[in-house]
Amino acid sequence: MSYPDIFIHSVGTALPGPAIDNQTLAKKFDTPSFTEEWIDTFVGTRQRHFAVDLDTGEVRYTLADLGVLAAQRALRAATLRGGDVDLVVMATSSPDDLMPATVNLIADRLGIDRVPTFQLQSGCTGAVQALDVAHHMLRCGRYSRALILGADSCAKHLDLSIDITTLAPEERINGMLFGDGAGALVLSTTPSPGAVAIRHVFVQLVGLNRPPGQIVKWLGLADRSAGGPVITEDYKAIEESVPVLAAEALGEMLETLGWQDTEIDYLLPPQLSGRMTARIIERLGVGSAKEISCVADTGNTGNALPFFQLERALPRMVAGDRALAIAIESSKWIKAGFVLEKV
Amino acid sequence: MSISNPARTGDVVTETLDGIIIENLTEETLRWESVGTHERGMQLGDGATVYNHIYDADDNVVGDTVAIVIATRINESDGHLITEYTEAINLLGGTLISHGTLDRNTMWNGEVERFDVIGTSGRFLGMKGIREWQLLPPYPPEDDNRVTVKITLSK
Repeated sequence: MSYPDIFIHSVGTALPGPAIDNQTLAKKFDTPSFTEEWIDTFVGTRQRHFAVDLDTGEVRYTLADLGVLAAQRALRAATLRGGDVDLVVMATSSPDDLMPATVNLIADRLGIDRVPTFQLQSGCTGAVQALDVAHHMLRCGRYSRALILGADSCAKHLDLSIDITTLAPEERINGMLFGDGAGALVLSTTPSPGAVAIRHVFVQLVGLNRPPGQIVKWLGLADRSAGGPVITEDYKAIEESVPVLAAEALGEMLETLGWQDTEIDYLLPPQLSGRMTARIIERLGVGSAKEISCVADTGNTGNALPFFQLERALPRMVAGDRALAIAIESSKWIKAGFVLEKV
Repeated sequence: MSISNPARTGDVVTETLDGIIIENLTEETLRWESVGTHERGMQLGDGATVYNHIYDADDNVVGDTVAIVIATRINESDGHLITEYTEAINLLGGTLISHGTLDRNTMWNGEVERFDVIGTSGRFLGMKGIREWQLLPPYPPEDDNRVTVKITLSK
């Protein structure tokens, strides 16, 4: 059975401003071990944006605010309105509330109603998972136009009243790595000028018998005083495993399509940090493809990252160009990616 | 306008088994008419009509073009200005239309930009391909910077 092609019509993104550079961050956290130079060298991320005002601690943007802005930009670029989509899928690891799902608050503000909506609870591969779900639902013929969202915010984890010197090193480094942002795509079953076709979407859980590389706790009334860090990361496992899993994902996607790596024009690698992305690129060894990265400018925005990469990649693509994106989730280890071709 | 015969220089148009390569050309803007800020760097919302000449390696005029460029958005992640670009190209062998999205910031730093191109008349009629376009130094550009032009067409 053959399925129709699905096309990306537009991308929209949103970052809460202003950009926080390493100098500002080092000054804010005022610890001798995290100088501007140290962040530049060992994290490789030049700046990031936070939904929280670093001076006052005020949350200026909710995740829904960022999602609405990104979606409006994507819809506008496709000359559509919210009411024109018949499917919405969102991925996030940091919803504003557990209920109602943030996707439905975003839909409400966009004037979207009486359509199916889904919110996937996921880390760095969530955007690809959302794309996979929407891709399948559009291909089945029941829907014609989907809005895909990926967004994350550190707002709940940036407590400016905490003395950072009391935190463990791995907790402190999170403040250097992550940033807030949102992205959106409009997908359609019909092509339009400048659209790119989705050739393949790949999502695979590979966490069997493997301890989580990242844990983010959900605390409620009964366990809010349980103690211990809310976020824990096994950076050694992440550093070791992510480049390997990225290479596997690349190989598996190319094998499925019967393509050689030399046939890829643009490579959108995982975006953990500037330094990690450089290591991954080295491991992937796809020298013929142009790298499209954003993490040095945006910080690790989790589920929003692929949208920022697409924002940069799509304008460069001409007919026949192929782009391959890889995302690796280190929480319970998922490898994922997608392949695009401009038609 | 009259344009010289590209065949005279011998290195502008190359026939291949499956198409044509047009290369060793440069393009220079003769006239820039704009709405909005009128700045050559452009701001969001600006639009311009651009008139250009195309030269061969010996500086003979071998073609001319007219382009419409509109600054449609700014990337959130890097602040780059994104423009939509459509250009009609007139060469001795026929005409082409080139269309694409141009990152004005990368263009101003000398990156190779690529556009879709379709032959619309003459020997290029019905052929499709890619137009590569690179701003020559200095960067950032002054008013009279030329760009290199290469067009690869397939039958």
